[in-house]
Amino acid sequence: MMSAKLFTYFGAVCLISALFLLWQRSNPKRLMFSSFFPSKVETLSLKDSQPTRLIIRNSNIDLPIIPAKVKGQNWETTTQGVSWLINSSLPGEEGNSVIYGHNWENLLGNLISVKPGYQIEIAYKDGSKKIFTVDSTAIVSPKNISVLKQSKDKKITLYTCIGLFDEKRFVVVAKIDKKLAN
Amino acid sequence: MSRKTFYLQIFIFFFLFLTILVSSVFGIVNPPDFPSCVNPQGSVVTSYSTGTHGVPGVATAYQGSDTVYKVSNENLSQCLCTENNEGIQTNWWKVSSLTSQEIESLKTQGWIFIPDGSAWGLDSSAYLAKNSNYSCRGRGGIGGGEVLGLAATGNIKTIYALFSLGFLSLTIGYLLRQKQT
Repeated sequence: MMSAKLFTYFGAVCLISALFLLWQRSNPKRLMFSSFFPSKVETLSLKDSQPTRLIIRNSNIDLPIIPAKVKGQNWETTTQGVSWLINSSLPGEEGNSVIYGHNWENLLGNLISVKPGYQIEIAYKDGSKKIFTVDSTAIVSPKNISVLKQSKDKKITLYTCIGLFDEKRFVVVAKIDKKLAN
Repeated sequence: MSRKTFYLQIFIFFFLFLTILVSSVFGIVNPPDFPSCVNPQGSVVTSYSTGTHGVPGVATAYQGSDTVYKVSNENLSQCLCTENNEGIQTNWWKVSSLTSQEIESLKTQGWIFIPDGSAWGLDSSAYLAKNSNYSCRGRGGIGGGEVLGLAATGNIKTIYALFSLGFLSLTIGYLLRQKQT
């Protein structure tokens, strides 16, 4: 009788966990930072300068970049690549360019392997490319919106979810490498 | 359900309820928000590109760069980047207005009480300090502290595995119950 109960409870816990993860997987708030309302940043015309691809060779990451917006508390996300917050600055222009994506294996699951000194390539629609060097990485709370704030240097902030039930954000900050930019 | 189990459940419920109630009423002070060292905010108070630096609560001395930012009148962030690319962020919170009970409560959350900040080049006032780790680009080239992250929770394979395991366990549980009755 005891073992029957044990199996039943265990099965119920598994099903509840699976349902929770399934809901969380499609939750548009999953990648959000709490109470962050980005102010519009003046960007150049996106016609040719739109970023199209994110490449981190050391971590086997090569993904399309999809423009995304924050609407209220809903952060547009994609399952096809990473999202570039169009309210943030254009990668390579002055300011903090915010790029984020799910921590799935085929997306940014391997982002946690990124270390300071690694190079990040951003390819653009016009065929040009800019190189950024990772300056720092950290695990922060989604309440710590300081990581998304604008800055006067040219940098990108790349993040994904991490921790138990994705309660934290793994953040990678990279600055443009002037020597390697073309 | 036996009477013993029923009373045990009532006891656990009240214990949890009282724990939450007591912790929300007594000695809980919300620490201020500190910006992360990956995107420091505020004005620079001091900055050293090299040298030996200390961290509150840690006996080791570190070699590397160290910058202190004034976040507000009461708070500072210290961003230390060692030559091994290990970053240590120390959040400094001036706590002259807190009671000893509140300070004791915060100490249980990892804050370190510094009775006199002047020993650390700060105002001659009491501070609470809290350290956290990050990785930075020091002189160590590529590399840095390891990040201890859990596996991705949104992995569809994990979800399928949990569904399968759940259904299997429920089926076994049902069959065992049928067999016993």
